[in-house]
This record gives sequence, structure tokens and C-alpha cells, in this order.
Amino acid sequence: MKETFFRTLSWLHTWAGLLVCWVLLLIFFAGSLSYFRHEMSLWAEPELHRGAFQDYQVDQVANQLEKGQSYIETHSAPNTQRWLINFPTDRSPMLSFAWQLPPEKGQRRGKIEQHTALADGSGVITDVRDSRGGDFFYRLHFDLHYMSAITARYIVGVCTMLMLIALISGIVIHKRIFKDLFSFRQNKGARSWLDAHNVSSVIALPYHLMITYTGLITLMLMYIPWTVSTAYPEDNQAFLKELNPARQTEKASGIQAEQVRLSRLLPQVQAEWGDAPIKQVIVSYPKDQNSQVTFYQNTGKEVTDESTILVFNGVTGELKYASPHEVSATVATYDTMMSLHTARFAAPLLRILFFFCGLLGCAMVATGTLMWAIRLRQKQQKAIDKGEKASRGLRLVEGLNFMFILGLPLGAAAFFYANRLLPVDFATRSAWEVHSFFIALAAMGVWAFFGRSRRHWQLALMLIGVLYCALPILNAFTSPSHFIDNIRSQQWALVGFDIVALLLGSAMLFASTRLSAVVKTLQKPSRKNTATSEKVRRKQPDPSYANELASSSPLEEAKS
Amino acid sequence: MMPEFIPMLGILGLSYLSLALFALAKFGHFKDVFKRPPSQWQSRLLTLFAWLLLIISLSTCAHGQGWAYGSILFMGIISLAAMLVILTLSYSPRHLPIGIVTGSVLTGSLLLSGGI
Repeated sequence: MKETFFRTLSWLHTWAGLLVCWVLLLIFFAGSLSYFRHEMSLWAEPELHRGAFQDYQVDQVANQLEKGQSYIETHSAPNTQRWLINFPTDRSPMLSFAWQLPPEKGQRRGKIEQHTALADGSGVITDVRDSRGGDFFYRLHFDLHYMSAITARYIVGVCTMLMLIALISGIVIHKRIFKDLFSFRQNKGARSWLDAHNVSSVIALPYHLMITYTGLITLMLMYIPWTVSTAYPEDNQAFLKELNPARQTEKASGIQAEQVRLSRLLPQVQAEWGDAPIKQVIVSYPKDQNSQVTFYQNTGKEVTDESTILVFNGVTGELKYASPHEVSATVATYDTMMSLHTARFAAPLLRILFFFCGLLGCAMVATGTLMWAIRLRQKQQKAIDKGEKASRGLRLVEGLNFMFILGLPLGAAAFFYANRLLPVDFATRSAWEVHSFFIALAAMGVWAFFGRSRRHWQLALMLIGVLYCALPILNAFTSPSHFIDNIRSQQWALVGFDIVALLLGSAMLFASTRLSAVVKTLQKPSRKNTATSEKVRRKQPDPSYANELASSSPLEEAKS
Repeated sequence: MMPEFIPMLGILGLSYLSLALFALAKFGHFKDVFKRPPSQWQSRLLTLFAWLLLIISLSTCAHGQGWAYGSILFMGIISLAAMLVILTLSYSPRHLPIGIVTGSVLTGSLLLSGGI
């Protein structure tokens, strides 16, 4: 019985993981990058890198509100739907004034026009290149691309569910989970890949479980809508309204009214919040009788996704609602899970650690798929030795590995290069930035047709490594401030971008040189023990070399 | 932004220490590091100290950052520390004691200066 139980589970682990592994790799990769969504967006708009950075200043708020309101009133169209005034925060250290136009036909949301104030108050920056920045990666990890968001979310949901199954079955079949916690045996062929798979899974296991489970929860009402639709058969809006009364805004009445001065509301805000920083002020339906003003507090490190808000009547200035309202345990649980997944509360250090764990997730998926390819190849080794061609399945798996494991980092690099190199006045530039991501991914797929040997992995890794290492140089030439400037002006988001690019680039170059070291060792077996190879990371040497090192099939141990 | 990192180095040191001791409590790793097998009571003592250090580092983290934020941060730090221990063990096991000494000095000095 026991034998069958473990066999069944390892069958489940293999297939649940492998069926969706490349999509999972894409989700993990894009999701990990989204931890730096705002930082990437900032990087993608170099026009803002000079003169706009400022810190939040309590004594300036009234002044800034007044100025923002006058600016928007004079510059926006009369049919504007919302006004937005964004105050500087740690991650987005700029004051900006924005307004949203009514949606055009066929679109759900209207376009937002955003102007950023210069820090010395001497004017605004209006010409910023059109780019999706970090939002692209954020959307990519649950909306994919080139398909409707709903279809994509169902695909992502299925993949996530399979991932959760793979994780749990993986824990059960990995019997030596604590015994082998620190074991990574290098240069042992398939054994090393298994070790790398185990290590990257186990040391970030709490993270993997958390991110997969909460990932499902974020869209749970879409995946399982029936509880809500049974209780609220007519109308989903009624459910949302009951869930959070503050989220509902009244419709515009169409009757003109005098808009309250925002700075006049400030004493009431301070009476409620003291000097707690304000993140954003939104006016919906300005100059309408049903106008409403919402103040959002910057909640910093609290583990919550629920915003702390104050809602005022936009005409009389009367306080209509103040959060937090009493929430039930269910809502509080849901909120905590949301915030764990999005990590909006995370300060820089924790954000870096989340990113690190996300990369370990990529490594987990990548090593899993590479092991699959090795196992397939081992099964066919005898036939291949006799001169037969590798089976179609094996070629497909190896090709897709090559395409996704190398293509995703290359795609991200292509996106950033496109952001800086496409002409600023190019009409569909933000769309072409996105296209270049997928073109790079597809290019790796085409490359895989022509060769997937160790030599090709080595070349591709070198190419990607060089591209990443050159990103700081690209930045220096295409933005007003380079690396040293940014350190001097303490713009850690931009400094961090360069550092991460350099680290990833060097890791890939390192992996590439290790590959050639391994090639040499293979030729001189006596020096086997002196060569080392970094296999813990996502950018990895070729599966087939590991195969050549593995005489027996230690992989079967795990399948016991 | 910068000062946040300094006490966290102390916690990282503590977690590294704890995980290194956990590793040393295992037969194979002890042998890799010291070229001789551990006695049974050595193993037990190492495990005991490892648990103690782990609890201390969690509570320090929670004490400084609050339980909600601190425990999440702790999970991240422990993953990083585990990675460092694994890298030391697989690439140069003989240097694990040096890592342990660095970890203790780092944590100790931060404790004394009141940085944690």
C-alpha cells in the first residue's frame, strides 16, 4: 500500500508540475519582477529623473493641495471624471497632478493624464514617454498577453492549482526534507539537479506555499463565483457594496456645483489622522453635485491591503466616512492574504527578500523541467548512442526549456532596451516595448530549433549576461542621471535597478564560464573534482552535460 | 532607509549561526567540516543550541518589527541564511567555522552596541 501511495504521489508531482511548468516559470518570473513594479516604472520614465524627486513634507501639504487643485482646474477638460493628486512616498518620491478623462468607446477606463511637479515648485514636467514600465510585468503575471484577461486568469488559475498540488505532493514524497536540508552535491549529474531542485524548493518553502495559495485566493471570487451569486442572485454590485460601503461612489448627477477647496478639508483630515502622511487625494466627479473627495493615508508597514481613507462630500466638505470600519474575521483574513501576496507593505529589505524567494521559485520550476529533460534523455540514451534521433517529445521539452529559461530574462532585457531606444514620439511605442519582450522570447524559441547543445546554452547565457551588465551603461547614456549621480542624490530605486541588473548579468556570465569549465572537465576526467558549477540559480548550464556526468540514475531515488 | 539594514545584519548573523549548527548536527556535514564523525551528545548539543538561536533570532526580529511584520521578515531572512549555509557547505565546507565566527562577532557587536 505504502509503495503505491508514494508512487502515485510522485506520479502526481511529476505531471502536475510538468504540464504547466513553462507557464509557471513565466508567472513566477513576471511576478518576482513585479515586486519592483514602481521602481521599474520610475526607471522607464527617465524624463522624471532630474528635478522631480522630493520627500513628503507635512508643512507643505496645504500649499501643494491648493496648487494641485488650481493646476488641474486650469489644465483639464471640463468633462474630466476624476482628479488625482499623488503625494511623494518612499517608492515614488514625486508630487504629481493627474486627471482621468471619460472612457472612450469600447474601453473600460478612461485615459489618465499625469503631470509631475518639479521639486523646487518652478513648474511641471508634462512630456513623459509613453511606457507601461513595471505595470507590464505585474499584468503579465496574471493577465498574460495577447488574449482576453478573463481567459488568461482562468489559465493562470489552473496552473496555480496544479502548482499547489505539485508543492504538497512534493513535500510528501521528499521524505528526507530535514535530513537533506543543507545537501547540495555538485558535479554529480542528475543528482545535483535534484539537489538544486530540493534546495530551491525547501529553503523558501513557506514562501512558495504562501504565494501559490494566496495567488489562488486573490481571484477566488472569479474561480468560485457561486457562493456570491447564490446569496446575491441579481446583482454583484450589491455584494460589493455590503462588503465595503466606502468603495461605492454615487453616480454623477449632471448638476453643476461649486467644488470645495481641498486645502480647506485638511484641518478635518489632521483632526482624524494627526500628522500621518497622506498618499493620495482623489476627487470623483469634480464640480458635480455628487462630487466626492477621498483622502488615502500612507499606511507604511502595516500588513494590510485595505486602504485607510476619509471620504468627504465634494461640495459641502462634510465628512461622510472614515475607515477603518469594523471588519469581520473573514474579511480581515482575506485582507491579510491579499497583502501577503502583493507585499505592498514591504519595506526595501523585505521586498528584496521576497524577490530573492521569487527567484528561488523560478529556480525550482526551471530545475524541475531540466530534470525532466535529463530523465527523458537517459531513457533514450542507448537508442541515441546507436545513432537514432531523439524522440519528438524530448526535442520539444528541451526546446521549450531553452526558449523559456533563457527567453524570459532576455525578453525582460529587450523590454528595457526598447524602452530607452525606441523614439520618444513613436506612436505605439508602449505597445512595441511589450512586443519586443515577446519577440525576444520567440527568438529564443527559433534558436532552439537550430541547436540546444551545451555550446548554445553557453553562448545564449553570455549574450544575456552582457545585455544585463550593459543596462547601467544604457541608463547612463539615455537618462539625465547615471549611477554615481543617483548615489549622490540618494535615489536608491534607480541605484538598485542598476545593481540588480549587474548582479543578474554577472550570475549569467558566471554560469556561462562554469559551463566551459565543465566542458573542460569532461575532457579531462581526472580533474573532475576541481571544477565547480553554480547550479542553484535559474540561469543554468545545459541538461545534457549533466547527463554525461551521470552514469547511473540517482533520480530514481527520489521516485522511490 | 539605510539604518533598517543594520540590525537586520545581526538577525541574519544569528540565523546563519543557528542553521550552521543545525547542519553540523548532521553526521555528513560534521564530517565534511571536521574530518571526523560527531559523537552522539555533540549532535544533540548542537541541535539544542541551534533551536535556541533560532528562537532568539525570531523573537529579536519580532521584537524590533512587531509580530506581523517581523515574522514575515524572519521567513525571508532564514531563506537567505539557509542559502548561505548551503553555499558554504557545498563549495568549501572547511570554511564553515569561519562563517560561524563571523556570524557571532557580527551579532555580538551589534547586540553590545544596542543595534538590535
